[in-house]
Amino acid sequence: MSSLLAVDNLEIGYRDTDGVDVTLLRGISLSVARGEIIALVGESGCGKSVTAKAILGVLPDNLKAHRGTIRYEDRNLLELDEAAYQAMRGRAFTLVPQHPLSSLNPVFTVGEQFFDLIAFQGRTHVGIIDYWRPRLSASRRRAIRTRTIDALREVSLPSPEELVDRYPLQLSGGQSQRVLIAMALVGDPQIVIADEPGTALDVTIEAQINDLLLERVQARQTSMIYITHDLGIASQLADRVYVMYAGRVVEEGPTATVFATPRHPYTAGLLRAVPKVTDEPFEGIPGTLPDPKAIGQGCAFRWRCPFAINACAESVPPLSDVGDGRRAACVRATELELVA
Amino acid sequence: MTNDIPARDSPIAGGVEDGPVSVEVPAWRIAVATLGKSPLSMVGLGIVLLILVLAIFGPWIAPFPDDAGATVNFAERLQPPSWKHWFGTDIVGRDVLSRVIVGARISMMIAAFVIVLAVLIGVPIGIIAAYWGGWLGNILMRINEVFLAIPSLVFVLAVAALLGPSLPVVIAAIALAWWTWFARLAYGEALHIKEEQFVEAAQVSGAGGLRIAFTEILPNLTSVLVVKITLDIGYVILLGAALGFLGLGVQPPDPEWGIMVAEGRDQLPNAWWLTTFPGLAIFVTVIGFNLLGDGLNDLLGARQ
Amino acid sequence: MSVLDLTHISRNFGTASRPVRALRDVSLRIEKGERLGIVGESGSGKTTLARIVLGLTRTSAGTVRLLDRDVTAHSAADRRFIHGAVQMVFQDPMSSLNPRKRIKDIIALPLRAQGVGTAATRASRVRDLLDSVGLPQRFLNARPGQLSGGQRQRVGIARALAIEPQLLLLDEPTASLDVSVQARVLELLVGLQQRLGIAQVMISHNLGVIRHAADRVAVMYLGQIVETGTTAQLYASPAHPYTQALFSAIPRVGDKKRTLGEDHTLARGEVASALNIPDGCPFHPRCPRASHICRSAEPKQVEVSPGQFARCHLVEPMAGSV
Repeated sequence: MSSLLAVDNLEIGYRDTDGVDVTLLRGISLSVARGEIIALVGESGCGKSVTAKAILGVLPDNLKAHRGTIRYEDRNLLELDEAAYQAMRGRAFTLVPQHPLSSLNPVFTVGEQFFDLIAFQGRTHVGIIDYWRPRLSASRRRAIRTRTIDALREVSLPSPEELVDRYPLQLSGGQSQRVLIAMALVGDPQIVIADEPGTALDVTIEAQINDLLLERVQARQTSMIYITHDLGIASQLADRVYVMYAGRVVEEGPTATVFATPRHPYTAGLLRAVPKVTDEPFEGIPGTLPDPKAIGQGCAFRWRCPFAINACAESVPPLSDVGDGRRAACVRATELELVA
Repeated sequence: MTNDIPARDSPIAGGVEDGPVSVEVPAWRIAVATLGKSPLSMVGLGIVLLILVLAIFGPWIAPFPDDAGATVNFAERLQPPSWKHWFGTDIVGRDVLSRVIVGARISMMIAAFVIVLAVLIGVPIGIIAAYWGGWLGNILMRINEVFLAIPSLVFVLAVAALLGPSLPVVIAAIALAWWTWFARLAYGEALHIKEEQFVEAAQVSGAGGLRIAFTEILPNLTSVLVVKITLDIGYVILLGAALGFLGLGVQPPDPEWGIMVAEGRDQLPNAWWLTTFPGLAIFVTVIGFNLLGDGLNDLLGARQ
Repeated sequence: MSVLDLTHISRNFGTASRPVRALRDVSLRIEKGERLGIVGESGSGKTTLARIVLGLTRTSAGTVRLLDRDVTAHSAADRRFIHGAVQMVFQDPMSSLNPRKRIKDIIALPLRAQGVGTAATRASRVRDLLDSVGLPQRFLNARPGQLSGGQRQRVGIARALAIEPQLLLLDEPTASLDVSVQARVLELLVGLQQRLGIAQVMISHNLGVIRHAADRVAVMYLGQIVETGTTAQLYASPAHPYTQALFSAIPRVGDKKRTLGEDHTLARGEVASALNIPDGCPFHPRCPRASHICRSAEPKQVEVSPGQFARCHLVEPMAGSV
């Protein structure tokens, strides 16, 4: 399967106030094929959100990519200027954000939030005349409104004809998230990046949102990068999963296989840590995430790993093939018998 | 490196959480590091330190300390700036530089007393109004609004005219006009902090209202208060000088900057130094406190 | 003697003409050493219930008995009694610890506020508490900002245990923690409960957490308890359609990847507002099995198996029950 988007050995860091370089992403590689759904899972500080921001080209100013490439259709996104990037957002890739209520501008109606999106998507530059042209043409306005209503209907929002004139504060959290999904999909993107889109919502609503997302991207053959800390959601949605820890991918492969027979101690520990609804015991991972400055040369998980040996502190284990289409970054990946 | 792997068999369910604790960086170290990056704040800090030194050691620094009082030396009256009198001399021959230096103490004293009084009145009222709310909060904040509605200069003028101009009266009058701003600030901040879970946690712990207001909420106000105090010292100095200029504040022969400007006003065409140097002193001081206050404000913004 | 006995509790907010009915006729009893789990989404009333038990909110109707003492009126003496018997672990370990204070002062606050012991006995108690929640002594002088989320939550647990409460309320104590850390805090809580035998109420939306931290579960929806029973009963055979919807909404590790057109019984639509509670069964607009009776009549509580009750027209009452 040829990949639509490929991140290769991406390294991102910042310089802290003492002038020390701190690396947050320490060589991330991942790829998404057309129509494929991948999940980035990991705990806070693992770098999953920074990865998403890097792909979308919205890294905070202090974060810089030191090394690596992000390839989309033979172009290295890291070399694009802002205008070219802007033209790709919404069409090549798009974001479904985590906090629905703060992601919509409260002073514009739902329809107004869609207007520019539909009128100017893919444009590198919008001048004053360009800005007013669709607004002054009754037929353009009607056409955009119709498209907005269609987009809202696609995400199963009730009575979209009324909803289009409502303000975000008049919507519930679930409705806002549906509107945001509709906005993300309106430009017919190739890749949807979903950043924990349900965590701010109630359980039953979160399930509806995930179902909707899955249904929409499958219907359109859109690829999706789903970021989550919930291994259960990753199980239900993703074809392939990337388990991340302290700025690196520690294990990667088909979701069902990785979760059934993990090859990296962190993946196994994470799976054991989830309190199940059955009697099955659970067990946390001792310790906390190391300070990025303290990791040095070696596996970042070695302090918390029950299987750590001297070799773990010597060099960073590369992500290498461990069979069944899987790769794991552990020097003992093939010898350990891990229990999920 | 493997010997730093923690022991896994612990008697406590859930294990021992012996992770690294980040080092506690004292607030002043962060302040110095952050302020050090902003040249303007450093200028402000330098001015403020200079004014403080002058206020404390003025009489020992001034070349002619006796000139701060009611001395007369007609032989040297109205001399332009020279090596002997850097800022020239005034109409009775006193050294302007000495008077400006000694005047720093009066201005700083007014500012210090006013701010201390305003904080002591305003902050408790603001916190209490915010924490208790209800009718008590309403009454306190309505009183506060009445004071806010009176222009502070007019209010201070009226009080000074009524009670006769003197240093304690000026201080009391300005403080009465000023506490409202601290009450407002404390009220707004406390309303916000009140919603934090640690306030509820303190209630559940059985802590009484006063304990919560002053040991849980108040410590979280210190940083905003520091910024507000720094900025306000400048404004209070300005207001004190304005009163002195109008003859309603400190009385001659005390070398208050506002009085000195007023006294030199008649001589402006032929003795520009009489008004210029005390005026510059006011200007530089106010700018200094403003620059420092802005720097501190940025510092807090960066930390939040 | 039960630790906590709530009978027919109601609580309205807002005005008489537009009441927000946060709690509607809730009865609950917690015995000594028992662990109750409360499951519910936003608007279910679980937070209001906790605040009533903590003495922070009054009831509109019903009685609250704590250790056989009627504390419904929330007099000053009642509140002192409540604070000496009930403590709480809060959801957000960031905001529930005062950032300006040192850990030892945070943990000692309940002791100091309630005048327990001398400065010296309080200090030694704080050291013991740090040990029992698995934190090293060197944290005593640290401030919350220096600690990780899991460490902070352990401080919150130590604070709640300081006065040896009879009842511990846990409001989503692990929800804001990472999975690996959450498990260890949960292990700690389960272990402490076994050792100290404190009755506890755990509020959570995470059915996995409740499974391991509760003996009995109450499921709340729009201010009512819609189903209650032992953890074993509820997890084996949830009776109320809402409980069933909650279970089916939980993604489990090892679930197969969903495909298009797959049928699953999810609750439809969204939670109604407590301002405007639907007539009949409050869950009927979202219920996949709702019939006409659900729209018109409010269901009574039915015993579906010994000790398991559900408020639903569609469940079969257990043979022999009325």
